[in-house]
Amino acid sequence: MLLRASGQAIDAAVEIEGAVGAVVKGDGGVPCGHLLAQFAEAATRGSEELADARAALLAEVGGERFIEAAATVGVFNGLVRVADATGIPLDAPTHAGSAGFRQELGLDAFSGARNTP
Amino acid sequence: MPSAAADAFAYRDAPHVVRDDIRAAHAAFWERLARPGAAWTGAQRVAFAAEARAAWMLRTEPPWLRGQPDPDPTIAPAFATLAVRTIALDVHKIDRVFAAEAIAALGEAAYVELVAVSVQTIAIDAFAEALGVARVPLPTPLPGEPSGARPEGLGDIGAHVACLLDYAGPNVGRAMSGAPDDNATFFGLVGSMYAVTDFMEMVWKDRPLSRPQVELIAARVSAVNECFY
Repeated sequence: MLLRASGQAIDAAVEIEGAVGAVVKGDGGVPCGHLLAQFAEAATRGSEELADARAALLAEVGGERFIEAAATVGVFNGLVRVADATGIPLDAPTHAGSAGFRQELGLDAFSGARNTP
Repeated sequence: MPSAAADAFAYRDAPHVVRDDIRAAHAAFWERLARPGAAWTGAQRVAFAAEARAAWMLRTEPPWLRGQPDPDPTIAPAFATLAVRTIALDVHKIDRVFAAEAIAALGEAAYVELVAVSVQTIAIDAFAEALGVARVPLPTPLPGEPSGARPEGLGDIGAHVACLLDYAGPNVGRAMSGAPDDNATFFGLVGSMYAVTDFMEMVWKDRPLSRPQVELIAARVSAVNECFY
């Protein structure tokens, strides 16, 4: 939801499916989106592609932006665990505002959906 | 940042300087980790961090090759080890039944504190791994007994655990309000590594990455973890 909202704020046509779909597709309307998503996925999975994804992102965006990307990967691997380990329900405004694309993208099938009546 | 913990988080091998506020937040958690909490001793908390770290490294293995956790009953109840491992590897599988079992075995305050220790360790380790630098050794536990402190004003918000009722922000901000000291260090991590003061601003100026770039990463991490929230 914040991806969509922040894209709208700068009149960018962000494609959420590229970010949350099964396969990383294109840039999703976000500069360097493909490299950022590949890096996030490889780092989160700890996959063999991480070294290449890291090098490609660093070469494209430079050190300062790379640090920010790594920080976001790190902290969100904590945040998702807070949400699921404590079972917090989705905040009401987010719940109401995301119904359409949650269904469209299959997010309602995630097991954490049961925490939100 | 004069402390030993701050020096440990210098990230000298990173490809670029890591901001001081990130390093300070990591050091603040490390220092907090070593001390007794409300429900666990420093030795128990560091043991949970070690288990979270070990389990996180198993995520590349298929479940049938990960082996079974090997809890040390002299450190903490066996369910604590299982809970840490599940948080690290399969957090999307934690449902109301699992959480109720954990709370029955450990106590609610102890479960929330264990969650807080685990998630902060993973956030810091995931950052180091993403950067391609060595993880910082865990701190030496400090002596002392748990305080037993429990905040007032907790209640049912529909989560697996009690949370502050009088709270205006997003639920993730109060998810670990049952462990306020650890929640504070966690939001130190969130503020330095993501956003707090500028969270409601959809256009970020003067930051290295744009808001959509950061949210794209966040969305991808959440999707890989199958996180609905």
